[in-house]
Amino acid sequence: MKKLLGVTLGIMTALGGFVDLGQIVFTMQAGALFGYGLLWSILLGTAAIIVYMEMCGRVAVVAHEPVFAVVRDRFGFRFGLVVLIASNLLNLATCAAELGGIAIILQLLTGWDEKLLLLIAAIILGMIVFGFKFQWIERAFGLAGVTMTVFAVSAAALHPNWHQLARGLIPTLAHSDTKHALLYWYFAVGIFSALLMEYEVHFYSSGAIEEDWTTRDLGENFAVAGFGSFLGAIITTGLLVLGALVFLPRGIFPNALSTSILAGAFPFAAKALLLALLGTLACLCGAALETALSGAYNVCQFFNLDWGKNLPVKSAPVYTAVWITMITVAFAIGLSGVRPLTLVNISVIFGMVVMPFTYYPILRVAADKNIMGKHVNGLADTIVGIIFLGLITIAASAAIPLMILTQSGEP
Amino acid sequence: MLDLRAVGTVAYLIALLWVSSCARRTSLTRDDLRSKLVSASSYAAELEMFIDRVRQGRVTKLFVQGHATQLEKELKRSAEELDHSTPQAGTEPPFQECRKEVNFLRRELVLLPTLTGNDGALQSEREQIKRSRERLADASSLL
Repeated sequence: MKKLLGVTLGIMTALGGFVDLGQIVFTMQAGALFGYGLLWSILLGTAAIIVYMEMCGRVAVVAHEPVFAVVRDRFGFRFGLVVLIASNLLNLATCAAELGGIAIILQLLTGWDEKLLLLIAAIILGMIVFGFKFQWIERAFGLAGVTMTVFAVSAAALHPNWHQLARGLIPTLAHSDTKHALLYWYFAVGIFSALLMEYEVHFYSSGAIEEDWTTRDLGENFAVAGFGSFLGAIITTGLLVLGALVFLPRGIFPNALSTSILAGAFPFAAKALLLALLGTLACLCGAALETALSGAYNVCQFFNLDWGKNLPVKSAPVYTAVWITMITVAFAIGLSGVRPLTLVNISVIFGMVVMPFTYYPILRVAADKNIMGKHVNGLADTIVGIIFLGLITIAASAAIPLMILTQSGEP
Repeated sequence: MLDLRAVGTVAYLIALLWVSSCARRTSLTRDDLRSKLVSASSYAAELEMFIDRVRQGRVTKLFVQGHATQLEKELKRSAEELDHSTPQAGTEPPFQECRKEVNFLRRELVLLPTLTGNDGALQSEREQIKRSRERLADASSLL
């Protein structure tokens, strides 16, 4: 019974922590432009994150190897360092974007000055990381993020055409003109990448080590990665449906976070809007903390330094210094006036470019019988893993050209 | 180890590119202008929808204030981009219309929070914004 409760809690946490600013923005904009036409991209991204998350968790538990230790061992120090720098710059951009988003939501809730709220948010997040243990941080924000289901409920209440929605599972190859086609593929890559943000997986696999998971917890690893992500994908589908039903018929391209939140409570009254605001706030807070901590995990794992949220500060000084720096620099970026949505665009698209360089080493280790023993990938796991590596590589190659050609998805 | 001079040179070139791109006036092609008109029209449509929500009492006062501030910031950015752009020959009339309407929408957004609870004024504002959206559609048809 206790085990079942633990697994349920883990799934709920994964569900709540699934959505972040990148997903909210890209998915609603895609719905506003193409209706249900990019549902297949959500399906593909969800399957990819399940495969990657499960492998990372399994490698962390069996080989006690977190992601960036694997990257260093497989690519060598110099190239591994380049991947580490790129990954942490993306973490920083994402953290700044989420922090900016938090300030916007707090402004919508309180009416206070946005820059003051940015400072308050940075301080409070820093205090939370400093004062609470890993499990509390992960569970509190993950569970609070479950209120994001209001977006899925709103989408269902607007009575989508289920038949048309199902047709969105097949990619459209015919487009009215080149610009339309480029935008379609830009948003397909954007949604795929936003679902596959690597900080979530690095945080998850580091958490497996923080919480002392053993091979007996591999079932929980599979359940959390699989069901948590699947349920999270339902919320993401809700975002797409809202974009298609609220914005597309009115010719609106949602370019502000507050616009997306407004759609989250569209069929309901002001109380649902409050719920949508609080759900989004929880998700963005969780994502900001995960990116800051992920940056610290990456550095310490790469240089083989002591790390862990549950260690005393004195025992993990570099780890503590890195997450504090991440939050401080993210705050400074936010203060400089860069739009959170611009930052999220950059982090999602460049995130796709970096993804093959962390996915590939994990796939290699997960398929290595000498390291993984009886928990090595089966033939089917390896084939699926290789198929997704191919898809990730194609998306990574197309991401920047599409970003340039569409001017970051300008309709 | 990585060559620090090479890293420094790349950083310098990126900074130089950024500074030069900020300083110069950009030339707006016909497609770029069409995109700006679509964007302005989208903001107008969004404002109409937002006013409907305010009239139905489905948003809090603080949300009205905050959302109006966010949208105004976005429109300010659009207005600044247009101010720093030069239209392609033959596209001046729709370009000027786009600038005019973007600035009109900005002014309306500043006004909106003060009208909460005044249904007549909100309805009249919605009508004006609808007309603005129609003017933007007319300008777009000139391209």
